[in-house]
Amino acid sequence: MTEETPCVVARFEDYHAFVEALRALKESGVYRYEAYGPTNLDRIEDLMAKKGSGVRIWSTFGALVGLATFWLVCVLSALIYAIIVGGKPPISNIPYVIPAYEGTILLGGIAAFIAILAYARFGPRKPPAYYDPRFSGDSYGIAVLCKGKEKARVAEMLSGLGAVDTKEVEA
Amino acid sequence: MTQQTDNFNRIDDEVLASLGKWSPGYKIAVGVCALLVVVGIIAYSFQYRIGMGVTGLSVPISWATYITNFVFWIGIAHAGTLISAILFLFRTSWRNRINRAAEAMTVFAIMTAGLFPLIHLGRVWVFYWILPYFNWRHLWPNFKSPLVWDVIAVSTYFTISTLFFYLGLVPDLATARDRTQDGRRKKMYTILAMGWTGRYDQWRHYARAYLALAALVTPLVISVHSVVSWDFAMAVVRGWHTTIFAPYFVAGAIHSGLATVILLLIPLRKALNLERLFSRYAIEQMALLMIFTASIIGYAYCVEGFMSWYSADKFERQFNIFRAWGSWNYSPLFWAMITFNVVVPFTFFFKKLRTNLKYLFVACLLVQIGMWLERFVIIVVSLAHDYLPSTWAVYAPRTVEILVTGFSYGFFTGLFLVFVRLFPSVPMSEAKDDALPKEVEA
Repeated sequence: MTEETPCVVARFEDYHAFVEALRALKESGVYRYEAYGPTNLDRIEDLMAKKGSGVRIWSTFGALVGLATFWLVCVLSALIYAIIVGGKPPISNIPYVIPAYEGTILLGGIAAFIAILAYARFGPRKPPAYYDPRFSGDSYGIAVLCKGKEKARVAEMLSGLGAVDTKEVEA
Repeated sequence: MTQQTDNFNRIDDEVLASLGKWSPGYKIAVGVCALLVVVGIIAYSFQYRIGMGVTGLSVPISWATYITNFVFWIGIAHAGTLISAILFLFRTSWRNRINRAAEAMTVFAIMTAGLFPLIHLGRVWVFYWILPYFNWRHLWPNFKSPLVWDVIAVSTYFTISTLFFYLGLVPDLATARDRTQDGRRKKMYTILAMGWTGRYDQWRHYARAYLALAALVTPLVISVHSVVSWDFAMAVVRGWHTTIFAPYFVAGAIHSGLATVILLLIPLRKALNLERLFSRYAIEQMALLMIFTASIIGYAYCVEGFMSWYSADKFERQFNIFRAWGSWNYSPLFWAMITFNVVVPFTFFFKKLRTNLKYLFVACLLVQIGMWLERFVIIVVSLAHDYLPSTWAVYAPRTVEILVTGFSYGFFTGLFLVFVRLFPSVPMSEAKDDALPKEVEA
């Protein structure tokens, strides 16, 4: 799945103005929009359409698979070589806690990493053409999805909300 | 331009300037590390060809310098995780500038540590026998053995620490990609930044994944060195067989790791002109943490002595007396260990001393020596003086072991020096987050 191309991209140099612009866009409810920034944007969740993340579910699932897998490897390997010494059963669950515990963390962590690769659409590629390199440096950005004829109006609105410059994107 | 833009640009400029040209002094430092690595590889090749007889290992001292190095480097790795994950979960703000360097140190220290069990193996070409893989010979590792737990714990620690480290680096790689003019570097950062644009959607998932990894890596700080301690504590050897070993090892690991972070940051902040970002305050806080870890270690030293007396076990008693007073070969190491690991860090109670970077550097160097000696005393002295007087022996490392130990320092330091010139050593996105006005919240 690829990102939708926005029609207008606005740049903000002030975080406060950026947050206020997002608030105004949310309250207007007319346009869909995306935010960009050099600092963690998780805290603006309330102003965005999408919330939460499936990463934790995948991480938990991975952890449970790791627990089961590593415990089973211990048990099955003991059963393959089931020599009974001193009347003790071949399976010893208490020492198996350690590999199972490590397996929980290992697969839980790997699952969290794979989940973010998938959810955040990571891949060794260049950013899209409308992306402004200053979004990773000193500026915040709002990209609005709109129809071609609305570009000028959206750009004007964003300028009014404190954007230092706006860029109309060709489809 | 706003104040905020100025702050953000200043952070980027300072950090990205540190990725610039290598000064002659820097090249010499990397060259020395490369020399240590090459000499160490030659020494190891000699050991590989001739056999373990070229080392000072014998019966009963079959674990010595290599295993000391293994435990030492694994310990170093722990402070990185403490700073990056545990202090992140506690929202400790001073860790935000130094966590990248600490995480890099963690990954490189585990890589270094991981080599030593292999170097210690007489027949390194069959190292994979300890891995649980399907085979027709029914050759399964014993999952009740702490040595097998160790393989699983260390490889898990390496994997998760690397993922955590890389994930934290991604937003800064994007900044480096967008700012650098050098074609080759741009290409490298573009690939490694994986299309990061700082989109809300990416941050949303990133924040959760980072938190999940921090939560997962935190118990590893406790578990990995506990498992390493059980390599010893599960054996019925005087000086090893004690229940205090797990917390004692974990505290020791964090203690030596903090000393390493301070040792690396003090010269680096000068060499890379990052004195503002690697603040004196963060270094001072680490020195204060070292007082805490030194207290735990000091307590463990006292408990060992007390329990040997209180247990009325004659072997335990004679061993502890031997370790402290009984040998000109080993007793000075024991007292040096106590002085360097406990007495020296306790001087950090004085603000004047802990804020003096030169003093702190020398003190942390002594702590490093002390922590290496601690592992040597635990491993070698315990084996050298077991139940049978007829088997008592003296061990001294041979040239090959000394050169391979030198290799580990060259390998670790070289990797770190190259890293800080290629990748942002300060988490820029987190530093910018700190620079934001706090009253603005969505």
